Order: sequence, then structure tokens, then C-alpha cells
Amino acid sequence: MVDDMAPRRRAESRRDTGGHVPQPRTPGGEAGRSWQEAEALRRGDQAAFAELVRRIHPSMVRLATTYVTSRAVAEEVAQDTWVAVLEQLDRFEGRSSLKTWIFRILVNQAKTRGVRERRTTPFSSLSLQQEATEPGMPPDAFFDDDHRWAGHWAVPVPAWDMPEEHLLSAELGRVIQAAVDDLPPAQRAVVALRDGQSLSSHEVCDLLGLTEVNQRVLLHRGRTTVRAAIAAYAGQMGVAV
Amino acid sequence: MKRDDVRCQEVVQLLSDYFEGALPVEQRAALEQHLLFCEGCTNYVEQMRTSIRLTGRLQEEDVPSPVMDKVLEMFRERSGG
Repeated sequence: MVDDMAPRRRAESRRDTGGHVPQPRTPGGEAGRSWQEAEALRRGDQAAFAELVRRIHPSMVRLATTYVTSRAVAEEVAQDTWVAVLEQLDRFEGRSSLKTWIFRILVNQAKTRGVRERRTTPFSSLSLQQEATEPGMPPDAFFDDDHRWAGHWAVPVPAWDMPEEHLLSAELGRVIQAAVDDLPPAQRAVVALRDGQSLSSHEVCDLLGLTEVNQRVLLHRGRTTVRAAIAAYAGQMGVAV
Repeated sequence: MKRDDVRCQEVVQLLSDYFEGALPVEQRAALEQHLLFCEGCTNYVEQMRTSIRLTGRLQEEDVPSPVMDKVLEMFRERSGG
């Protein structure tokens, strides 16, 4: 149950006890964190900026590759985006998260660059249709329609019995990066933002101009491929998959 | 082994809708019922959860030093200007 009065009561209670009272205009939750992060950047906090760059720059390049012709151009677009972000930082109002705001600037820059390169948009209905008709799972994963267990697993699916340090190895990290980078453009963008950067479906639909249904189809296709890449890696490593 | 109305293939196809809370209540209940006794699908669901969690590690990728140096330089110029 949402209690609308709770924040005010908490603020009043802090005032009563002489505790810390947040700035009146500072929003709470994720928006609050973004606002504080933006404030840190405005103050010239280089460590906070470096941390933000470290966290999202590779995903910015990955997202830009869906709109432009080469990785080198995508890298340029990402760097141009940082220029624009620093120029416009004072205009960030905290209505979206800081990284969503940055990704929006990036998408606009990448679209402009893509148009200049006469690149077709990865989110056109034709492109989406092509991506949606690609096979997801291998056809022999399930029994055929004439089998008594039609549509059920034809191959065993044992648990991934990998220790956590194996799951978190740099090598597997590279396998996952390569799998995401090899996805068709629209799937790559959706997986990178949803699973890679934890953006919400609403944020991703808004950012990429997708319907909820198309977004889910792309996410599902992309996730299926990334899972298969991890399964193949685990198989090579001799882990039961 | 007892079989139900839901096929494993459907579980795989509907998984993202299930994770997203986009399935109608009856379909969600049928899928969860299936998971109660299908070990293959239960493992598949767990694999997919692991895969999604590991994809979150894209936030830990390295930024090449020349790129980081360049954007930090831009940041210092802004802060100093």
C-alpha cells in the first residue's frame, strides 16, 4: 500500500529530532540518486564523472552501433554525446534518470549521424519484422508435432552447475559482450539497455520509439541468443548444460 | 510422469512475457503449474535468470584509457571554465 504522506512525516520527524533534512527540491528514489549524481558532476566531482563514464560508455557505443555504419563512428558519436552532456548538464531537471537522459542525447546524435550516412533505421517495421522471424531456439530442441510428447523437450536441460567465480569470470564476460554485440541491431539495443543497463521497458520503448509488444519480442529473441551463448561456453568448459 | 496442457516450447516462447508480468492470470498459473513438475523448464527458467543477471555485468566493461583520458579532459575544461 502506498502511503503518500510517509515522506512528509519522515521529513518532519527528522526536523523534530534535528536530523538531516534533504534539500526541498531534491526528489527521492532513483530520481533522487540521479539528481545527486548530476549535482556532483555540476560541482566538478571528477571521480563521480569517471564512474559514470565507466558504467555507461561501452553501452553508449553499443547503442550507437545500431544507428551508424561502423564501431569507429559509434565511438565518435558516444564521445560527441559526452560533449553535449557536459554542455547541457545545467538543463538536466531530473525528470528521467541521468543515464536515460544521456542515452536520449546519444540516440538523437546517432540518428542524425545515421541519416547523414544514409543508414536505414533499425527500428523500421521492415527491420523489426525481419528480426522477429529469425529462428529462436534450434528446431530440434523439442519433439515434433507427430510425437506423443510434441512440443516438449527432446533434449535434456540440466541445471547450470557453475560455481559463482566461474560465472563471474572475465572470459565469460567477454562471451556475453560478444553475444550481445552480434545480435541484430534492434535486439542489441533492447538487450543492452534492459538487461545491460537495467532500464525499464517504459524507458526503452520511449527511447527507441518501440511499442511494448515489439520491445518484448526483441528482448525475448536477444535473451534467447545470449543464453545460448552462455550454454555453448559452459559446454566447452565441460560444465553440464 | 504426468503431463499438463502447457508445452515446454510454449514456456520458452512465453518466458519474457512471464518475467515482464505481461501474461494473463490463467496463462501465468498454467505456466507455473507446469514448472512444478517439469525439471527441464525449471532449469531453463533458472538459466535465463542467470543469463539476464550476467548481462548486467555489461556495466563493468573496460573503457579504453585514451577515451577515458579524453572525456576526463573535457570534464576538467568544463569545471575549470
